[in-house]
Amino acid sequence: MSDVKGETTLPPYYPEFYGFPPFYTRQPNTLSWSSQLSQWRSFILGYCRAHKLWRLNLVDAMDTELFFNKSINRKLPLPTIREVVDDLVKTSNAEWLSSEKSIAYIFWRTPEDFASQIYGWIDSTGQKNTVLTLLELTEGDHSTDQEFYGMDQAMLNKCLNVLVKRGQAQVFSVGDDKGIKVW
Amino acid sequence: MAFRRIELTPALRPLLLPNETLLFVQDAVGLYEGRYKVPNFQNGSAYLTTHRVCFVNNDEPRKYSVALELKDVEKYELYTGFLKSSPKITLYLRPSNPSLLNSGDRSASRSPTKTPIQTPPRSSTPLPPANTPRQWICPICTFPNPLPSNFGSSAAIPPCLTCGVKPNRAVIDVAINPSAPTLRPPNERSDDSMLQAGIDRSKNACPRCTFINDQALRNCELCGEFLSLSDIDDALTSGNSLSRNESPAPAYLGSVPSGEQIDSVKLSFRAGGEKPFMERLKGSMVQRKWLLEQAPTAPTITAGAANLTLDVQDGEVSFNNLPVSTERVIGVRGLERQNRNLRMNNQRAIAGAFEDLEALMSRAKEIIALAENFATQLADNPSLANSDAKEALDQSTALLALRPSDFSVTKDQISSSSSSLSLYHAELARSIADFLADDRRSILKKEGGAITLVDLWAIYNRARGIELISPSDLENSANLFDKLQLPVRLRQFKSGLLVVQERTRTDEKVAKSVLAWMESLSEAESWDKRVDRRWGPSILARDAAEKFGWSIAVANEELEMVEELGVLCREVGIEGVRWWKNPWITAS
Repeated sequence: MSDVKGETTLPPYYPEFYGFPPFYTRQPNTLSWSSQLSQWRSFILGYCRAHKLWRLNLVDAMDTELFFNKSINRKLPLPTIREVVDDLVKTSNAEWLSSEKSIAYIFWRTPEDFASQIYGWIDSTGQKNTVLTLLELTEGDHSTDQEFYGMDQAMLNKCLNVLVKRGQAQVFSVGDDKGIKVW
Repeated sequence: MAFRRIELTPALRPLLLPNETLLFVQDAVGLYEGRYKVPNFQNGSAYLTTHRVCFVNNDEPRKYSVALELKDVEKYELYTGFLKSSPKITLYLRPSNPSLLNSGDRSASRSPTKTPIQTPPRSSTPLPPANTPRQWICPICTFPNPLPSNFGSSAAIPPCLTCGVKPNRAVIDVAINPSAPTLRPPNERSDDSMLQAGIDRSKNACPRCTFINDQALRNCELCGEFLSLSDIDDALTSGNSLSRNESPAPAYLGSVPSGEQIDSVKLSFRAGGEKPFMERLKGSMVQRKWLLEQAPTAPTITAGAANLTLDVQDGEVSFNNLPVSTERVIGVRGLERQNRNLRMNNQRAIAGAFEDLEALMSRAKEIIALAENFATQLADNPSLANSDAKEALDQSTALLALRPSDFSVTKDQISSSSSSLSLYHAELARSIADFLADDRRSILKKEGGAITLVDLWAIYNRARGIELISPSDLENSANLFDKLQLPVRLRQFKSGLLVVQERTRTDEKVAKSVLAWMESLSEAESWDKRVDRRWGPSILARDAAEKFGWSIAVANEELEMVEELGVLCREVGIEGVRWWKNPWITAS
């Protein structure tokens, strides 16, 4: 995956247009743009899922394979990347870290999905009604096979808030640490 | 009736004859026959040319457009209008003589070589006899004299060109009115004219040798004499209709109360403009350019170029004094002599024309014809085909031919009444449309079907040479293309670039042709090797401009338009915008 010689060696989440030069230019035609945009969206999400990327620094990412196809020497320009991420934010698949729009959290699953996953994992491992620290959730030895393993703390807070809203969990603050209890 | 239907250019202006120039245009004109308004001819534009007065209906120009030849006009007067009655110009027609009407276009074919022979004594007749195909045979010397084109019952009888003796009027009547002989009491004729007229015309007898020719022949089979045209011509015009230029049938307009002779036509100027119209009418009636049209084709510069700088009227006289030669030399010798004469004339024409600018202007038409002639001769003759010379000739022809006497509308051709500016722009728009649609130039074709307004302005002004138009006039006129329903239209691209293009050229057509071209591009051609072949070839605006003959600006705009349609998509790179087939839209 690291070396992109031909389309055949590309992992499946790479869009078929990855080798198409106009893919790296924002199309002025609205119809073209909407399909281009959706391709970029799913590509970013798929890429981040595959690489377990939780936050994306746009400037750094520009030179990664995500936005830079070395084989045809084409790069998606920064403003267009921003536009795509903006669109992700609209559907709550992403969230800007600050108003500068240089770093974004990428929810390659929506917070709701993650919340359900966490709930399901706690349920299946019989940890209901026990207090878990947040670190146990994302970095504990038992959750390594889970998708939310290694999740950024700020993102995790957001997901847990969903559970709190559903009335399925409660978040405690113990000093600097946070704990959660699910029932 | 002297009105005839006329042909219109694609831009709905009257189609001008060769040598005819437009003098004046006035809109909101109505037409009267005698005292009566002519239905359907009440709202149109009047075009005054050197040869005709044309009326083009505003609403249905193809249907209701007529012209009146100035040579049929005997006199004219101006009525300045009173209270609600609009100013009018009345044109009094010559007593109608239908056999004369169709004669114009035959003269050219009838007189192949005219070498000057003895010049007749200058008569007081203002219209010297050299211009019409109709002939009268001199009873004294049997020389077939041409009949003056405007010869009417009241005009003075011209003397014979060879012997100078004035004939009996009856002789001329025979020539004018071929159907007359049977009606006329024979005792009016002199003995000699009896000789001529007495020959059985219905059998098409030769007036010189009396051999009875076949009806269809125009020259006597034995002596080569021009057969008197009367009977044959009537048969031909009514039957086969040989005349080419314009629809021969005179249009009868409306019904006229029986017993009332229509001998005048009125132009009613509802929006003013009658005075300049009148002035120019006066001028053209004095100049009588239509005589020049029928003048001998060979240029007649006798010695040096002394008479080249004469003004138009003098020039005309010098033309008209040339008698028509009927001298005939047959065989190779004849051909050779003909060639020699032609060469000499050409030489003189060129020598004279380039002597000074004024002369060049007045000789422009001949010189263009000569240059074209030389060009074709060179092209025909491969041994002579020196490419440089050919190119130079081609170019000079093109440049000379760009002078659009029939395309230039000037402000002084338009009256100075209130609506004049818009009328000027409308006429200018028509003239530009004609200019673009002209097949000889095929400007739009060369430019790939679309020309930017700036380029058009340059080309059009170069073609005008003098009386240049301003950019704003051009833009105003171009904005009228749609309103006037001309065959071209002004189109504004997204960026604001204005181009003029054919009306029929739609965006879809352009897109289709671009796509077809891209599909036809060979696989190996010009693209990044690293890019997967399935995306097809890519092009730059430059390539498209080259292929379709567009200017780069137009190519850019056209491609963007095609992109807008979703056929192409772009890739912005270091070398500019590269265009690809759009897989997003076509795939979905």
